[in-house]
Amino acid sequence: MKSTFPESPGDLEFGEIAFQDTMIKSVSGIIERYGRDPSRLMDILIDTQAEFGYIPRPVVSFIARDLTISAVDIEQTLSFYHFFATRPSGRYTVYLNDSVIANMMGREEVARTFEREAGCRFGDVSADGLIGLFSTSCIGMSDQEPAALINGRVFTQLTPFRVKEIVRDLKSGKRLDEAMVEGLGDGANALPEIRSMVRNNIRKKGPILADGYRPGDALKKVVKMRPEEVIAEVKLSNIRGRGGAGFPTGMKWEICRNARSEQKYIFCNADEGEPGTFKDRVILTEYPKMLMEGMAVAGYAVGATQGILYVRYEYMYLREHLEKVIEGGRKKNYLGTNICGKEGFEFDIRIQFGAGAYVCGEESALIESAEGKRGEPRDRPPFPVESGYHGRPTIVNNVETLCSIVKIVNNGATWYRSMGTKESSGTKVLSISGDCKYPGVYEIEWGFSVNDVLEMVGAADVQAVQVGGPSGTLIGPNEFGRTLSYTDLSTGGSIIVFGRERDLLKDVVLNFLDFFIAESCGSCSTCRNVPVLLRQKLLKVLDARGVPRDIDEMLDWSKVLKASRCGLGLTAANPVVSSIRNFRPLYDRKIQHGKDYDSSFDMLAAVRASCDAVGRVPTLMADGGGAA
Amino acid sequence: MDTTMVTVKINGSEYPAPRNATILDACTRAGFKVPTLCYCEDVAKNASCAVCVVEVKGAKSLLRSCTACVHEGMEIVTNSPRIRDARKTSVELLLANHPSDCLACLRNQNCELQTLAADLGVRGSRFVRTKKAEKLDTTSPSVHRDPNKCILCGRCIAVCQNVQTVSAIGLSGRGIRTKISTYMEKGLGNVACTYCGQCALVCPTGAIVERDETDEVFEELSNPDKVVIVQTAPAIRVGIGEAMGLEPGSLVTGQMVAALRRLGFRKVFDTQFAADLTILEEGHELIRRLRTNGTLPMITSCSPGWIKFAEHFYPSSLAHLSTCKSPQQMFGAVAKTYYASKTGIDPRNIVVVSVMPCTAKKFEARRPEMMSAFEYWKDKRAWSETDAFYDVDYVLTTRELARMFRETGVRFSSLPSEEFDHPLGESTGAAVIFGATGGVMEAALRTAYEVVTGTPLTNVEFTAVRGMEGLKEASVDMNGTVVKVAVAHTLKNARTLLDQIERGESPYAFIEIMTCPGGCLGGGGQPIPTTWAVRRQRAESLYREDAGKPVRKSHENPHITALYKEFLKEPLGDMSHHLLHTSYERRGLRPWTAGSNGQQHAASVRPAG
Amino acid sequence: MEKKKTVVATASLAGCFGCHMSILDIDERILSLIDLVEFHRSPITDIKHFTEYCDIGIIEGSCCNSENVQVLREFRRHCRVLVSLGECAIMGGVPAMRNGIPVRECIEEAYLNGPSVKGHNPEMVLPNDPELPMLLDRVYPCHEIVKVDHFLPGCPPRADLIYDTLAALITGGELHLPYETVKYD
Repeated sequence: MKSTFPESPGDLEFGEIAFQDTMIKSVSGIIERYGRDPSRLMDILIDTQAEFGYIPRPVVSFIARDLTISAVDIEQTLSFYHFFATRPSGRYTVYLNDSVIANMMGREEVARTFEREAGCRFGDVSADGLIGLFSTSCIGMSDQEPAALINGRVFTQLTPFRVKEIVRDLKSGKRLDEAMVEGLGDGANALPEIRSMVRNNIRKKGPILADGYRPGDALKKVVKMRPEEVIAEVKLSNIRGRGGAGFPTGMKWEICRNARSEQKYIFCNADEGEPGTFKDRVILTEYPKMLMEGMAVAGYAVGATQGILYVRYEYMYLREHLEKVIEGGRKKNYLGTNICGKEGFEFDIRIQFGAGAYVCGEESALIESAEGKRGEPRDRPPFPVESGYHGRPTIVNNVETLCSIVKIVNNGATWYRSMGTKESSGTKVLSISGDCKYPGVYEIEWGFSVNDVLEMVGAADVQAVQVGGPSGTLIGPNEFGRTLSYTDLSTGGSIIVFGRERDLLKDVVLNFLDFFIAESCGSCSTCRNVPVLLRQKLLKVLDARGVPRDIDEMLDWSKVLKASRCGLGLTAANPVVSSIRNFRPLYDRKIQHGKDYDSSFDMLAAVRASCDAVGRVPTLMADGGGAA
Repeated sequence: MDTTMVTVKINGSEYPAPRNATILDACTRAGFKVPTLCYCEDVAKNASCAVCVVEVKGAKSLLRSCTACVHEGMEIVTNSPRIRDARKTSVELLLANHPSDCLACLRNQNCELQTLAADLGVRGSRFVRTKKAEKLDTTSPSVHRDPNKCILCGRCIAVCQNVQTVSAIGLSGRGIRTKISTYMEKGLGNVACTYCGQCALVCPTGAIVERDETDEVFEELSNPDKVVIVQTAPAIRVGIGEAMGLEPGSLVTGQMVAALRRLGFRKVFDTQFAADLTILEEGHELIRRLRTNGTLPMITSCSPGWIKFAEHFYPSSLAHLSTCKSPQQMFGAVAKTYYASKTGIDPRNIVVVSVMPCTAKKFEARRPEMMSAFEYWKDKRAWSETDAFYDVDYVLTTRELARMFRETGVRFSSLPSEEFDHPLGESTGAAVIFGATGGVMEAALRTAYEVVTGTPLTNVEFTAVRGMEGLKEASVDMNGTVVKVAVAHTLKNARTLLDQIERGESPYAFIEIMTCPGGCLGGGGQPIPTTWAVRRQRAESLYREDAGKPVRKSHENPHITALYKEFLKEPLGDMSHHLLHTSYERRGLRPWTAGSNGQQHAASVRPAG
Repeated sequence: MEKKKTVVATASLAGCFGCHMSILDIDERILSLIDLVEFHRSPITDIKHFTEYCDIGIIEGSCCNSENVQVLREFRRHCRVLVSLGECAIMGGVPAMRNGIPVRECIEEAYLNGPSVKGHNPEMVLPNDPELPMLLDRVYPCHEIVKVDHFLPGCPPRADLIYDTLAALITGGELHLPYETVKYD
């Protein structure tokens, strides 16, 4: 059996699109653009999807051949990220986020309207191929929900009315920007290179979110210092990471400085995936120069010449803006070689986009993603500061941290320490949303109490506050006196306020569990299984079929996550554990006390498949246990 | 390598440990057994199973001992109620999605998950299933996959991507929907998989196993009309003992022969006989290429995993491959022609079973061109195509043979030592070492040297090509002509030599490539577990048998001489050409588009233009 | 006054009746048993409906359709102590081999594609008579539907075991399952 294998690309298995020479040219061009480097697979796939609307299978085979890697290697990456589509997803692809705040602000109605107008359900594409409807996790627009991405363009504060208008406009042939009738947002959102309706909603400025920032001041100052002095200043300021993990920045820089390598990297973590966090979006919009200056300062301090700004896919609308800033920085000699006249000081930045994975906010998973792989957290040690991107010493710092560095350089560590508390120096930029009058971005000093915050945002009659997103903790009024700090209530910025009318178990805890289930990378048997099991248990409780033992089991099973490999696993059970601890009465109210057993068997659900198969209309008797 | 030591406290007492050693290493050195599951030394350290967790004073969560490193003064606890609970829960979560058919599983009693659950005292799982049932992958003739048994330890991927650089399988999906699969679930038989079986060798459960042919062989053995003969590879005699409970690397040639006779094989022959034959053919082929400026370097062709690898990934190297068949296939052809003629048995009634350390051999035996014996007899006996038969009918791995022995109650310890049958059972020391990396090279050199120079070797041992290093090279001075040779094992190392050839920079005349780490003795069909320590022991036994043989050069095997005199006439002659040599095919990287040894698919539509 | 006899009810849901046969394998001991026990609803007596509250309910077989669930729930309602008898009742048993296969596929295999029906059902009828109960999405062991008090393992459990268990339940005595009962090797 001698077989003749087609050596040319042309694999038309699915007949989706004829893979013609023009397409080969286009894909070849994309691969060339990234230097035929397999570690740039994320960029290659993103650009391919931008070109064709999805990533056709023949293209995958072609890329595999061209880069001489296996197709399954590409599949590994392709199948990991939420936004990579392997089937046509509509000329207009709608991603409506299903975060807890979106649901609070009326997502359900918006979603149903989309379905009615488009003529298809979520997860599908309309019959005419015009509109695809998909759900996604929080997209960083919590203060202006319900929000969606349509072909990457952000639509905020959607209402059923607006949805009808948008869909009708698209159906009638209008372009997407023509369908966007909302006025442009504030600040830089109105710039031609962004042109977005997104609002900054900066409610309270502070030392970081300040006017009068002059780009370049910090750089000019550091080139007169030795790198060790810069690090000493950072250490003196006692600043800790602003992304949520809170690692002492100075220590991180020092270890990286001491690591010997010809090449080091500075990564800025702009993945901002924790639901309810949107402060980095605002910084990227309004203060990108400060951020990049911070990256250059970091580069100077540790001896890195390459900076990579890792931005979440949902912020793709800021791409042109950020690239323009980088270009401008090069022109002003704040980036490039001999920066600010300092011989040998070279630093440049490139942007790396993610493709939809919360876990990539974890520093080692972020590095894996930047290397073109699945975003699976690495085993530590070795830590990224010793062996990170391509095995080189790598700093991964949050957007806000790097901006704070610039201010520390400009104003001094002592100035920085004069703000905040003893252990938590400086300020924190918060993104506050939910049931409050003034959702938005606030910069406060560490040490604010939750009560202070609630007063600040105009929240009254508050039932609960989620501090730190789903991976944080849910507290009730009896704990509102606690303070925001690394030693008490820590947060990467996300604060969500829940009013009296919210059903915490159904609207909040269940939503958070769904989030972790969707975002778990799947490596560890504990993290991929336990949230699924907890969800089943929670549904049982919500169906009024819970018994006291179910609560004990939920707490018991959550314990095993304490042996997790990464932060996602460690905190995946937090919604359940903290709600049981702080809102026990809500569970007790639903539990059947005195009963030690209740099956969660649902007759109607159980017979649905067979009834559908034979065409039976079920007729259950009153006790729910009758003949179908 | 950092040799500074630090002091750590384990379970209350102090112990020394190398700085930057993992906690697992430190505990093992101190004599504490920390249970592990996904961890596999030298292969994968995925840290995903959460079984090896330990308590460390000051750490906020339990740490994974396989990756966390020790530091001075670290206080470790390896056994506490919290730890035991965590370990048990992790195993229960794995069991919740694992089929409970241990009794029907090929890895029953040799399964790491089973052993771990028993050791940890896990008697059941509190948890319900969270995953959907997956389909089996039986598209490959060598290796079958049951994704339902997979615990996502990642070892198979590590071996396929890192050790073999083939990447036939990988992860797909995310979260609870993560699974290990071939590209778009095509199946191993339909993608560029070399069938080497290393994945099956490292799998801790029955998720990847060899295709079992024991039932068919048993059936043939009980058929009185068939003459069932068996040939055994060199690697078997240093592997089967292990599977029967003896020490790793035990040399059990005599008992193996006796046991095979007890199973019912009419004749117990030795693949090593055919290995000597291979050397004769391949040695002369090399000499011819050297003399006539033929395609050099010449590369050995006895490893079917390597052959398939070349056919997929390096089609330009196919001209370099020796045209010789592997010893297994040469044996089959000779058995069904020469042996059949000598004994008068109808070749259609001869059933050749080979026992191999290799899963790819199951595929090799079924390659359509491996019907030389039938082609030989077809016209002479006026047979039709319906009479067609393969040269080798069945291939059993070492593991399958062990299962057959256990099923029939063979006890190795009480067996006498017996000899192989003639005329296909006599072999030299050169044939024995075929099982180790560098062995084929050394055997070939022993013969090539003497044929080229006309002088006998003073020392037959070419130690430069021995040992477990991935790439070895040597220079042999043959009466003034210096011949450079190279030896590689694992396909990753093979790539180095092949890339060199593609660039036109190869300085070698002759290259030996073996697919599996350590050579055939580390093959995908060998007993589990196979570690580097075990490989070294097996190699040592092979070289020991070689040293103990009276005849150590292939061309001095009197039965081989007789074979040529009576039947083949001369190396590379007409008979050899038809029976002992073969050809190869370019397979491309996307075999699923036009059919392969796996499933047939309708031809794809050609692109326009 | 005569001491009231213990009332026992039994049922076989999706079971093969092997466990009931095992009950009968207590052979002549049934004569001494019926001095103490009276069977109410059971295939043994052919009483089909509960008319009184029972002491012991013994269930063989798992729940594979809605009627099984209904019967099981009635048993739980009418029996003080409920016992799962045999592997099917305990963990699903042989009927549970269809778990994981979509229900539609099972129905189609049974009525359209199976070797003995293929070609004999040209109208592709899938039975939907109102008398027929509907299959559940998967086969459930009894304790996932109602609370079960005791479990007797075996396929089927040995007659001696069933007898000893009944004796212990009736007299209120202790029962220790011998090791061989739960380990079959």
